[in-house]
Amino acid sequence: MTPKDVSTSENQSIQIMTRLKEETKAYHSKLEALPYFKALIEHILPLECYVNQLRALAVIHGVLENEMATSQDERVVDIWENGLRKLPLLEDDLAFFKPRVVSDASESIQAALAMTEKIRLKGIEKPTTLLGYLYVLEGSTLGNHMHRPDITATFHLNALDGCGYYSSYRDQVQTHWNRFSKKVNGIMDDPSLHNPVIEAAHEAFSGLEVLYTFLYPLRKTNVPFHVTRINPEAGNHPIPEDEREIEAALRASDRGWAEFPYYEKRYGERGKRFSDSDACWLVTLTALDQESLKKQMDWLLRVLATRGMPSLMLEKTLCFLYNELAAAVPEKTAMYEKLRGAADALKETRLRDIQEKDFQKLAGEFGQAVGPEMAASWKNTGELLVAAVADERNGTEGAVASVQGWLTDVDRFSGQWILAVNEILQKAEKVTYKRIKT
Amino acid sequence: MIEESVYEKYLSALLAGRRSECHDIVQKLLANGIDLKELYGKLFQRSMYQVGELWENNRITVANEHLATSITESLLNLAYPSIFATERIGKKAVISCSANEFHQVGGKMVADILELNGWDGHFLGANTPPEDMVQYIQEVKPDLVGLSLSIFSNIGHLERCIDVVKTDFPNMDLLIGGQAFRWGGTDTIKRHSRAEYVPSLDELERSIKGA
Repeated sequence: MTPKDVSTSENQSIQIMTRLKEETKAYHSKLEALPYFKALIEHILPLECYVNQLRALAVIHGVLENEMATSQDERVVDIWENGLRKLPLLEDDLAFFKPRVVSDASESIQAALAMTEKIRLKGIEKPTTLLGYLYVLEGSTLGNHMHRPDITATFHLNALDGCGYYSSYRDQVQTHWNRFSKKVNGIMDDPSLHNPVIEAAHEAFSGLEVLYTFLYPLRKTNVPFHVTRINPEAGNHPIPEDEREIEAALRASDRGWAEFPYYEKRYGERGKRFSDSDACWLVTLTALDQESLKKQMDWLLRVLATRGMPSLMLEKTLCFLYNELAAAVPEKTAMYEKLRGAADALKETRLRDIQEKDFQKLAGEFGQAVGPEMAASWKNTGELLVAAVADERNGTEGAVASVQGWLTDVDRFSGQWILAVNEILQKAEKVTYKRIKT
Repeated sequence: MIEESVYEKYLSALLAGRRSECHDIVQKLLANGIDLKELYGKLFQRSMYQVGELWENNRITVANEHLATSITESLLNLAYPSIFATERIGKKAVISCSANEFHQVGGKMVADILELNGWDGHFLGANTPPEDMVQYIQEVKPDLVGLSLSIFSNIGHLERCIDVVKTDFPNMDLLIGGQAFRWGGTDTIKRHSRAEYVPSLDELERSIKGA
């Protein structure tokens, strides 16, 4: 199916929402006729199908919402608002079902990931076409409103528990939809923009058709957990198959963020999700030999340190990870020792050009310079700054700039703080330089 | 021969996502009769390795990387008329990415280079379960199997894949390569009989010419 010829005078006078509705009608009917929705209406849909629907949609919404929220395209910026976000609702629903461990259905997740690949490319090449996807997913709230009683009846749910996504906008669904339609029509008033958006809506429906076909009936999967259950935007990378290891990794990630509040302040909830999924991935590396694990750490160190996350964070996370894993799965402690070995190697590299006592002294001076309140609120930031200098000295170009830029932003910090940051970096550079010379 | 200025222009267009400019550069090279192996090795492979490094060093975003991959995949199609016009030599290869490996451009390029050398290169794509691969090998009966690995942490999946293939086809020649091995891991390959690490497209050609 292709969009109708936009050059006809008829189409030029039709608003985009009308065209979208008309030209996706067949797709919509096809989707609603799939066995998934029949089972839902008949109240025979298995819980694992519903939970995997939420997981797959979390993957799609996670990527789409981030693309829209960070888009530079003025039409996308005008249309997007935080109130359209569904990921928080999906995450709440998934958290509700978490105690009932449900295996991840890899085929539906792959279908969702295939859609996110297309969304990402649209975000760069033709941002306004993201509206085609948004139209389809926002339109789902109308269907969800209709199906909500089926969900609550099938799974014996109360209030919003486990069906927050299906309850989007509560009894204001139609009002919300009308407002959304008006806004989109107003902003997308140039008919030459319509066809690509309609094509994108077709693509979104096709993607969903594949996804829902996989969702019911579900095929048995060999992999119990997919990384997207931890972080919907993580794509595809391995995570442990033992739930105890996953829980241990998440605790280690929590400890890492508690140790360095800078991360939460800078990277927020989304950053934490990536920290969680990365911690899970780190566990899988224990299957490698020590040398191969070290090489992975060298790679990861460079990736993180150039993005504002000095190696000290990774070093500490590896220690936390070892402790948590050894406590949770003691029979595999010997295997986890490799994480400690990798942390020791990172520490050795970090302290190659600066002695531990100098490292601590400089970090302490930073705490004094910013005052007790800021030092407590930004615990261990001095350590991170000195570590960034060490990383740069060790060949990670851009490690200092990636923290300095953010931590000296005048809109974010006081003059006293900025001065302290710049001073500590200069001092650390001098100390490491002296050490190299001697 | 691809001049450095042409490469730089191509890379710049690739990183900026200027699909049609990349397309024009490749079309022009093809029209001038460029050696396809050089096109693959010195333009496609080199630029994608550089894209990977730039992402690692935070010089480009993951979105740029995805777009560059998408553009490169579409450009591979431009060479197909020449690739498939090569005289067949009656040999077959099955090329695949291991389970959980979703980066398929490298594997696709390997299959094309085989085609260019007169082989029938059957490319199974990303994330192929070992059992599916074995079934396909049974059907096609290839002279060799090629496995591509981009993400080092998937090496366990690759090993399982090798084991499964070797169990059913102990005498099958395996060629293994991919960006993942920049970080080590070639010892893993050496542990298996008739399994060879192929570090580049040139090496691949040398290897298959001896096969």
